[in-house]
Amino acid sequence: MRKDWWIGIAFVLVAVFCLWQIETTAPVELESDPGPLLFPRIAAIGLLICGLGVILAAKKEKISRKLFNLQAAVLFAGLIGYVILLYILGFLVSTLLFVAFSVWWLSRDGEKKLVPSLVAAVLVAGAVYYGFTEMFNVVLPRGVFN
Amino acid sequence: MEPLMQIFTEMVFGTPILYLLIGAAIGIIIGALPGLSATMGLALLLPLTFGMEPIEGISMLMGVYVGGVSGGLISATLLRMPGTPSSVATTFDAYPMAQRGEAARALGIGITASLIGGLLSFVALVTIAPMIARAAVKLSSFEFFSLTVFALTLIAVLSQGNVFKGVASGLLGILFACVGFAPIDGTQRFTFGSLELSAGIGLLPLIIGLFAVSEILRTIVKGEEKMETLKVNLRVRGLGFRLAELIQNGWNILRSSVIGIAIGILPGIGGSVSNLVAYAQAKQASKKPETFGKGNPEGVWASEAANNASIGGALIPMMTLGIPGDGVTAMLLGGLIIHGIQPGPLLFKSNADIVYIVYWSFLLGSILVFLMQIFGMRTFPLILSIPKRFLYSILLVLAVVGSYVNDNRLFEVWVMLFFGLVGFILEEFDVPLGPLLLGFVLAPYAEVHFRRAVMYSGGDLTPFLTRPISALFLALAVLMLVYFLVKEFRSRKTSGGATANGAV
Repeated sequence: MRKDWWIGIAFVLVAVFCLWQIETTAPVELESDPGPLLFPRIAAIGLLICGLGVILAAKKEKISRKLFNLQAAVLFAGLIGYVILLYILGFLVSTLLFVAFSVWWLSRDGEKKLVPSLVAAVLVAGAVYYGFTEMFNVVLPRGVFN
Repeated sequence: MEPLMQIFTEMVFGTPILYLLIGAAIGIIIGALPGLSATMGLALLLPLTFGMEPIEGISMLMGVYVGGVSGGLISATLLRMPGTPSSVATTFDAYPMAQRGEAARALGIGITASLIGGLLSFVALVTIAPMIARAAVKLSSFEFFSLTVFALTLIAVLSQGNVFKGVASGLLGILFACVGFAPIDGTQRFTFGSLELSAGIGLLPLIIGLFAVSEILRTIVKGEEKMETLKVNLRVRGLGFRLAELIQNGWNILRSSVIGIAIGILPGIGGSVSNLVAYAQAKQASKKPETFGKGNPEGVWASEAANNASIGGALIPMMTLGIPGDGVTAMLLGGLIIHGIQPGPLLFKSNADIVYIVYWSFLLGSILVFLMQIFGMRTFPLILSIPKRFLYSILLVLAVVGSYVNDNRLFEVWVMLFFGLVGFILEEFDVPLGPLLLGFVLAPYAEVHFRRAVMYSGGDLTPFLTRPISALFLALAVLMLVYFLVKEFRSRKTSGGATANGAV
């Protein structure tokens, strides 16, 4: 399958989904108002046309490399876990855990060491926490410590 | 002229210059950190100025404003993480320059462009401010809509080389901008019953996700060799460019500054749009448009000249009419009022000294920010020599914090992660991200002004064509589209249909 067909089909599917959503939305009607659905409808129809255009104009080129990469996928999963932990453990503890994991995970095989990861975690979490809360007066998530 | 020079002497040889310096330094740091905006910087420092003399307080606040807009250049260039929306277009070419070892040169170009843009808008502020401000308030929703349509046609310019993908990206941006309560009537669109989505999608999480997180993912996917620490060339002569290059870019800088000033004057738009519009215009006018997005310095000149020029532009309606153009000037306006000054048409007569303080602090602030960044341009790039495993971990934490502090909601962090994935997928399929951002930023203005105008005219669309300024903008939009399509068609013919993926 040609590379551009994937993204062209994705555009078409997004456009169809948006059009379906628009048709199922009941707008508030005001006098002489073109309504809140005009803009999204025009954009969705345009996206549908462009998606078809991408499919029709696709060059004979296949995806050159695997989009799935274990290192990136696990890091992204770690990020999701980090955000979930922010609700529970708050910024400081979650950031400590995430940075320790992230530095360790991104290190090359054979160079994965726990101590540098933990040192980096303490420094980064401490510096960001201190900088934002003390210097810029920003309240960061506290989780159960609230 | 005597009071003007008197204020200048008082500022330069007294304490105000110190406050200006402190404000500018804080502004640069705030601007460079994602999530912290000049608006927030002003909000934080405003209480500190209560006990100061107006000349000191206003100097400090102006320093934060100028520094806040300029500081975004640093993180945009080095990390592809624009500290402020004003520096998004800077990432398109400054970041590729940094990746090939020219970080100091990219920063040198950026800070010089910022200074020139700032100086030109200072000239505009001093000379033609009242006249422009009076004309700007006469614009109605008809003109605003047509102007936005004109700006939206730039999506096509940013899509050069791949029109379908670029326009699709712009339309996706418009659809993302539609999420949440619709303007005017409050209909919920694409919210899927979620209370969080009703508030819409924040600009900052979208930018951080699209540009910073997606780039980290892409680098990791590219494999081991891309994870090596970059070699940074800090040995640059002077500011990293020759005088001839500056002269060559003279028209580009002037055009971008005029765009910055003009957009800055318009309420609600400002630097976040002007840098994109100036960038698209620079690409349109360039002899090498295909190199844009791959590290063409012309893009950096355009973006940075425009965003700093917007400062002077935004100050014009604030000073002359008491109308703040954006959140930052609204905060600044609050600062002036707290110090007992009422901006507006009478300000120039009743408090001319205050007008001069704003003028001088803007000019001196621009120069101080320039000097501070010159010292920094050889040290900031050292960030890039941090091993990637540490750098990316720090960046991801900053991306999370930057998205969170935008609205103090963890939901914004989810939005950022979502756009990280969206940006990653789109770039893997050579879909440019610039048009998405332009569509996202401009769509709300286009929609609200179109609906207001049509309701005002009782459903009649003809005023868009019969009102001279509105008709002029629409004609310009059509002309630009036709010009672009002809140019695109010709370049395809000569290159045998080969597409350039230099679109951003």
